[in-house]
Amino acid sequence: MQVPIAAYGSPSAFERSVVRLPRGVPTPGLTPLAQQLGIITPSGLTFTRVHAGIPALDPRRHRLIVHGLVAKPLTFSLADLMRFPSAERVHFLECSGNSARGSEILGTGVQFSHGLVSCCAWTGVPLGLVLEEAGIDARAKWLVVEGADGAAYDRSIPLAAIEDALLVYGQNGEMLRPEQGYPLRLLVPGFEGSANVKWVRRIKLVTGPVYSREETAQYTQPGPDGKIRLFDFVMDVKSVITSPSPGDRLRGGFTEGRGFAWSGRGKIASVEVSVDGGATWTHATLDPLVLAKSFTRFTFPLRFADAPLKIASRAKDETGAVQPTLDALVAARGPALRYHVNAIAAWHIGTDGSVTVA
Amino acid sequence: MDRSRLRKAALVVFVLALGGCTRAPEPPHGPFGLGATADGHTVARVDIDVSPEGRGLPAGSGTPLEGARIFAATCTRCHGEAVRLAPDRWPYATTVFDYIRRAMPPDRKSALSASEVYALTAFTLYANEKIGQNELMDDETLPRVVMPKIKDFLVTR
Repeated sequence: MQVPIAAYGSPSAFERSVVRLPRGVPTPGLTPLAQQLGIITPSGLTFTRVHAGIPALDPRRHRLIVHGLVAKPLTFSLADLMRFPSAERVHFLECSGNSARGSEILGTGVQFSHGLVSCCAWTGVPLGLVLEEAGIDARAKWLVVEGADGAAYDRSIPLAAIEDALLVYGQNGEMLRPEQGYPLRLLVPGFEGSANVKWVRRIKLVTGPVYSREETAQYTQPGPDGKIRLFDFVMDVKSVITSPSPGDRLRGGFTEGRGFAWSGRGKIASVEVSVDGGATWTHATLDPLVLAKSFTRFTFPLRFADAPLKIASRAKDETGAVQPTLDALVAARGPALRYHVNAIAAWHIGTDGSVTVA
Repeated sequence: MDRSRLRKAALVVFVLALGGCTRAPEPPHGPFGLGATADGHTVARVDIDVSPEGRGLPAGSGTPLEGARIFAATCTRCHGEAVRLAPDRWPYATTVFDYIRRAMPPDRKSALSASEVYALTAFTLYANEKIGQNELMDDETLPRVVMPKIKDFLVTR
């Protein structure tokens, strides 16, 4: 039997099970990390969270307005923005609620426990060039970035943090998908996913944050001192073994272990793996493509001979930060751990080869 | 040196010279002359932000009692009797106004007037014991409402 050439190609019919979690599960739209073979998450599998639906925006009619503390307020069409100097960069994007404590009991598999992260090649215009076009007033210290969704979702972003930020229109070589902000979204590499406002229609330069509902009533968390931390943006160093992972059954003999590591603070320096529950650690092999604020792929040899194993990975980034244990995170931030959970994840491999959360 | 070696040497010199002529790209800098000037009217039409100091609050006013009536007619289907504000999640009362105005009601079948948003804000603050039953909320009074947990918030930037 043969397959015709489609006008827009789709995965093989044999890969129909590789999908984002559908509507109806407690957290839909999660990336199937166990089936992701390289650092780029396909656009159709990129994790998706929305706050007030996905607007259908006509790129010919969509406008971005830049105003506030600027010399000259400006309105840009998408065509205007695509005429600016452009850049393509590979960056991960992780929801700050990824791996929230309890997510592992929502369902079996790394898709449930870690699927609120993806990594894509993003194309767009450096945000600073667009702001400078309007003329940044010296008093401006923050931006308020607003989307065109049903709730006019808005977040305050420090001006000092946008050095490598992009106004993105391209994802993995084609225009953004609607659920990723078509036709224009913000990307502040390393920042929690929710700060990367989608369907961007307005940027206002201001002296201080606006304290919107989404940066006070949501996406805040208690710190070690019990104080509620606002504007805690950067996603810290993290890694996870995606193969084998819960739901798999490991066969006897050799199998290559695989996973991804990432850090919102820069490049991955190393990944260590343990097969004995953290008693001893050895270096995993990093693929040569090690990019800042991106997935880095790691591999390690795994030999299974019907004695139980407990496998885990521990990443270190170029700032020297090391992924903590869950106990260390609980000690630092308390037991709730709703946001910014980057704890070491361990999988148990039983005598029959079945893989479960350790 | 024979002719072919001479030709090769000349080619190497030529290629090196070409390489020497290629300058590194300069980082792009504006102004690029892109975009259209937005006049004050255009900005005012889309600028809906309300700051904790009350900048951006429109004219108008409302009381908890007026808000209760609007809430019963418009909001109860999703929100029940009243919206409970988690005490450790709302450092500023202005955020309540800002969010109701930008996001509610989700279907937008009934656009709320500024006074209706003030009234719904007043009702929500009253239902959460932040203001009294008869307190009028407007651009002067709303920014002065103190959310008691404000001291527990820490700006990390």
